[in-house]
Formats: sequence, C-alpha cells, structure tokens
Amino acid sequence: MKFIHDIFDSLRPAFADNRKLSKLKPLFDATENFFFSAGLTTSTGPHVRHSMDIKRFMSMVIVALIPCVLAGFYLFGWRIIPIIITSYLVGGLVEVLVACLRKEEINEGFLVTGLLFPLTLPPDTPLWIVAIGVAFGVFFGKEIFGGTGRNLFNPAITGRCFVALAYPTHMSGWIEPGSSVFGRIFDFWPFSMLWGATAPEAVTSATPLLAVKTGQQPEWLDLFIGNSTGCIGETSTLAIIIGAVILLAFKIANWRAMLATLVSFFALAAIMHYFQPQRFASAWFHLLAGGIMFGAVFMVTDPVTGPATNIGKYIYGTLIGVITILIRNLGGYAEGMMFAILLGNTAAPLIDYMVIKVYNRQFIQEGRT
Amino acid sequence: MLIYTQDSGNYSLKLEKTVDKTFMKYKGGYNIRLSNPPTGNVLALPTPEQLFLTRHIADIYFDELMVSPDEKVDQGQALARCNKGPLNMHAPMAGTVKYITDNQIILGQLNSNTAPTKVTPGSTQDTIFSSGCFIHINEVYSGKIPAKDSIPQAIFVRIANLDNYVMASEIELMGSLQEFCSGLKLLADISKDTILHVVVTKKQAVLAKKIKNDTADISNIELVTIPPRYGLDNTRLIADRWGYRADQHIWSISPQGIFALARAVNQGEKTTYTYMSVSGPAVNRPQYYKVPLGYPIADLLKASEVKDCPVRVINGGVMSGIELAADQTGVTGDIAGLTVLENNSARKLLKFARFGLDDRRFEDFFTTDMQGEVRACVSCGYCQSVCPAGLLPDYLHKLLYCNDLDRAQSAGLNKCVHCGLCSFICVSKIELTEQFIKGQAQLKAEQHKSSEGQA
Repeated sequence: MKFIHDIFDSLRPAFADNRKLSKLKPLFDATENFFFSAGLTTSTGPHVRHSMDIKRFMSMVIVALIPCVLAGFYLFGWRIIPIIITSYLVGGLVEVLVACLRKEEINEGFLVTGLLFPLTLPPDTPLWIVAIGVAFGVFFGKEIFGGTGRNLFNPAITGRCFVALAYPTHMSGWIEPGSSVFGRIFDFWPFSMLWGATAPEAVTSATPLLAVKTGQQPEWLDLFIGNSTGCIGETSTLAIIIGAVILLAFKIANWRAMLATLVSFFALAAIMHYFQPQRFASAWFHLLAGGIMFGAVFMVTDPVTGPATNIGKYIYGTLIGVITILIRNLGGYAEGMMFAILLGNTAAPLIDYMVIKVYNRQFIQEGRT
Repeated sequence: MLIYTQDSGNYSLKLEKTVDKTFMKYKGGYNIRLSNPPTGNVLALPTPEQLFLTRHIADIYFDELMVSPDEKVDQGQALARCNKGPLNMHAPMAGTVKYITDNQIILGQLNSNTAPTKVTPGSTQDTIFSSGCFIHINEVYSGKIPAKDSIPQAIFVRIANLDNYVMASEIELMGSLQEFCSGLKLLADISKDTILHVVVTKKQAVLAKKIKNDTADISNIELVTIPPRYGLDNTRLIADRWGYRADQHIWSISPQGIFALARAVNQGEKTTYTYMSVSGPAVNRPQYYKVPLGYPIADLLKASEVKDCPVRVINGGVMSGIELAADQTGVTGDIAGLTVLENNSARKLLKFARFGLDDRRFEDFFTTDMQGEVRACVSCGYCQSVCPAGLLPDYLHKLLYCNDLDRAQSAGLNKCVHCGLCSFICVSKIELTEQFIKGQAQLKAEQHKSSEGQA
C-alpha cells in the first residue's frame, strides 16, 4: 500500500499554505485521512484509546443502511442509483465548499446524510429536486450551525421537509414495486428522470397511508417485506429491522429513543383504534406502513439532534411517536413522521435542559458541589 | 479463587486469579482483552549497583539532609527529613552515599546482608510515620500523605484494585493472611471512632469471608463489596457513597501498607521495599517484582525485556496512570506498577474500515495511538454509559468549552475522579479527562480567591 502513501506524499506540497491549491486543503486532508489514519499519539492520560472513532461510527450507520438500499433497489429498480449518486455529489460539494471557506476539516457526518436523504424520497423524484433538497439540508440544516455535532435539526429531514413543502407536485412520484420475483431490478429507466418525466410504468398510486383513508387495506406481509408504495428506504420493514439490529448490536444507536418512539406510537395508535375502529386504522398497520420504522431507527437515534441524557431520550422518543400518530390520524397529512422529528429536534435542547436541571439537584442536595 | 492451606496455624495464600487482569471490564458492558498482563510469581531481583532514592514523594519533599556524601549508612538509617510530620526517608540497604542532588540521594556499594536498624516502639500511629510505611497511605480527598497528628474518620483498605496492568492485590496478599489481619487490627486500634472499610470485589467473597472471620472480635471493621468494574474501585467514589465529605480525614491504604505496618509493629522492620509489576503490551516478560525502594527503573525494564520499539513507560495502570517523569530513575513507594506501551504513530491504510468490532481483539490496538482525529462532540452518549461517578461528561465538556465554570460545578465537575474512561471511549477523541482536571483546578483557584477576598 506504499504507492498510495507515495501519491499523497507527492501531492501534499501542492496544497501547502501559499500555493494555488491551498484553499482546497480540507479536501486533500479529508481524502488523505480517509485512506490513512491520522497517526497521532496520545499526549495525556489515558494513554490508550478505544478504536471506535467518528469515521467508524458513521461508517457503521452506512453499513446499517445497506439493507434498506438493497431493498429499495430490488423494489424500485435502477432509478434509485442516480438519486443516491446525485445526493452524494451535491451534498459533498456543499460540504467541501463550506469546509474550504471555513478552513476546517470535512465532517464525516455528511456521509450519513448523503445516504439518508435519498432514502426518504419517493422513488420517482426528479434529480434536480434531489440536488436542491440535499443542498438545502446540508447547508441550512447543518453548516450554518457549525457542522456535524452542532446542528439543531437532522440535515436529511430538513432537506426533505424543504422539498416536500416547496415542490409538493414533484414529491409524489410513487411507484408500484415490481410484481415479478426480480422486483424492478431489470427495469432500466434512469434517464427520463433527468428532465423529470415520469417513468411510463410508474403508477402514481397512493401510498398505503393514503389508501387506508379511502378504505383499502393492504396485505400485512406486503407491508412487512416492503411490497408497497412509499419512499425508497421506508417500505421494507424487514430491511429496517436488520439495520436496527446492526445499529444496536454495535452500540451505534441508543435503544432508548428508538424504543420510546415505537412504543408510544403503537400504544396511542392502539388506543385510538380501540375507540374508533372505523375511523382509525389498526396499530399494526400504522407501525408497518409509512416512515415510522425508518424514522425511529435512523432519524430519532441521531445522537446530535436528540437529547444527550438518557431520560431525555425517552421523553424525546415519546414526543415523536405521539406527534406522528396524531398527525396521521387527525391531521391533514397522511404521514407525520417528518414533522414529528423536526418538532422533536426543536424540543430536544429544552428536554435536555429540564432533565439536567432535575439531575443536578441531586449534586446540590448532597452538598458536594 | 483463592486456595487456603492451613499449615501450623498460618493461612498461606496460593496465588490464583480472583481479579481477572486479562480482561478490562468497565461500566457500559465493555470487556476488553489485554495482552501481557503481569503473571506468575513475585521475582526478587539481584542487588543493583546503585539505588536512586527520590526526595519527592506525593506532596512531600525531604529537604533536610541527615547524611553527607561518602558517608556509610546502615539499612533503615534516616537519610533525610521533611518538616511535615517530621517524616524520615530511610536507606533501603546498607551502603555508601554517593551523590546528593536536589531530587535524589544515590546510594552505592550496597550490602544487603547487614542487620537493619529497628523501629523505636511507640503507638500505632507513631509507628506508621516512623517506620516509613506512610508511603502506602494517602488522604482520599486531597491525595496527600496524611499529617502525623490527624486522626482519620475512616480508613479504606484497597484490596480491590481494578486498574489494569498494575499489582493484583492477591500478590500483595501472598504473605500470610494472619499477618494481614493483625495489621488490620493495629489500624483499627488507632481510634475507636475510626471505621475501617475493607474494599473487596464480589469475586473475592472467599477472601472477604476469611478476613471477616479473623477480625470478628473488632467492631469497627466493615466490608465493602463492589462490582468488578474498573472505576468503581476508586476510593473517592466509595467514600462519597458512604457519605464522607471532602473536609474529613479519610485515609486510603493499600494491602502493602497493612503488611508494612504489621511488620513494623510486630518485628520492628522499616519499610524498605515494595511490590510492583512491570507489564504491558510492549514487554516480553510481564512480571511481579519485590524490589527495594530506589531500585533503578532501567534495570527493571531490562529484566522485563522491553520490546525493541519506541515505548512509553507509564507509572500506574493503563487507564489512570501518568507518564513516568524522565528524571525519575528509581522506584518510589507510590508506584504500583509500570505499564509499557508501544509508542506507535504509524499510519494505517483504511483503518476505520478494519473492524475491531470484537472488543476482545482490542489488544491489536493497544498502543499510544490516538485512533482517530479530534472532532466536535456528537453526543453519542458513550461517556455517560461508562462514567463510574454517574456524571454527564459530554455536558460538562460543553460547559467547560464555553468557560461556564459555575454551571459545570453544579453539574458535578468536582465528582470526577479522573478514571479516564470517558477520554478512552470518546468517539470524537476529545481530551475529556484533561479538560476536567483543568476545570477542577480552575474551580479550586477561584474558590481560593473568593475565600481570600472574604477574609
């Protein structure tokens, strides 16, 4: 692997302080640090450190998202590939530009945003919508707050919210999943999306959440496997559960917020269904349909935008679960996960503030502060 | 498990593992395998050429010299004195004073076969200070060596020492249990109001039972059982939990100190040697040693066969230890063990993708490598899950980052015991422990200033 090292060694002088390319130094550093570990040593105690760093932390989320990507690919075909590529390219460009302007390192958190965002889009979204959404999400959702770790809102959801509200007509490119054993793997229709034309076979059929309001009830198994219309990553509950297992097994995500969201959501859905079964769909249906599972596993567990305290995570999850089902059952929108997460993000600092206030009381009472 | 063989009324302990030093366990479900923990029996090393006696120990400095260069000294003879106490520094072996510097007294022409000078009999508390076994005792809250006339409210006997790579308490207890218990009784005699807390882990139940039986006639001995998780063995945390306060005199003593006390009172022996370990991933022969104080550290490292690579020698365990000062050439009483780590700064290709996900294979990474770059805190919550004091390190970090000392104080900054787990686990590689130590010092300085202002 010495030749890769040599390439970096030969390129490094070109990015030195007073050279032409010095403005692009963050990009060079990020590329170099992607290939080679920083090689720093500890200066103060403890003298050893755990091998989990932010790169591995973020890579594990991407690994956990792979089942969802594969499921989306199987169900909706090749069209998801250009969407993901566009998201990475445009989002990466914004990230690099801001990092170069600010003369800071490029944050690894973008790697997750770049994959999360396209998975929350309808499969037949035009690429320019993807580009606008991810650019908005990365810039206004994250960079203006100071980058990964300091952002208030989940960048992927911020971007999605923007395009969903600004371009609602372009955000309804729902596609029926392929009916054959091969799904839509052999449908090749990525090019039409460049100018926003709808693929001929793409049926703008309603998502299960819309359908159930008009009295149609999809099959349970279809919902579980993902054989239903919906956003790219959210339809296959099975793939999401695999991702959740990966996240929890490697302690990347905290189970508390995830559990609180799902339990509160399910409980309130069950209560509403019990009292008015004609008006409200069953709790199991709500759990399997729409973005609740995807949001609970990948969005609610985002450590940056959620509360830091463990008790806060329960409150945060409960808040999101309750708001989601209230919007779904009583609001004008068919899906409420996006708004619920954004509201939860807004409330997270307040939740933390309250929890810490109660928590600190114990130190003050002990008189040992 | 400990195995006891009863022979002529004495319990002698056979070494078996009770505290598993090959695994580093801590709160949050972590269980990391370590390579080259100290093993085997205690080795006594040959008499060295010279002894390097450090004049600084903890907070005291032996400033008043009682010998001059080229003077012949006996084993146990006082070499220097400090005003606090007054406390004496003894010659661990008979020999000749070679050099005297500001930091060290160097003895040469050593002879280990002479009759040692005895401790002058006195009360237990006097003996602690006159025999030199005070080096094994410190005040829990201040970390200083206790003043001679202070009567402790409580004494914590640290049998459970869970920091890795340092002395397992079984090694220290390899002498006779009877001697250990007689030492405990002597300590308990200091004052009837002093409570003696013997800290053991759950796995040391057999040992705890034996100690309890042997000391049944003393009322002020209490056993404290802690889970075998690193960090929870910190005496300050345990003292906090038992409701002691920072302004009280609470002592912490290692089992070595108990033995030293028992020998000083029963046989009149002065504390002239210590048990310690030399181990770590960069050592080929991890070993326990019984060495006289002042033993050259270079000789110890040589005997342990340090690997041929750049190394960092750490005084203490791998988590809470501090780097050995470059000018410290001799063994002091406050060294429980030396940990030798490879000083590695090699850049590895695609390191983040080499999933050392199995914590048990962590030994591959056990060097001074930083393991990543410093980033902003992402509030992953790992530090909260490992903190033995139950603090919120990420929140404290954010408060200290914006210099909000008052709020950091009310969030429990002073409860941090510098165990190092939060820095160890931090995904963003933030120097949390260092930040907290600095924050505490700042707080102390401010309190000092305000109290002066009031006066």
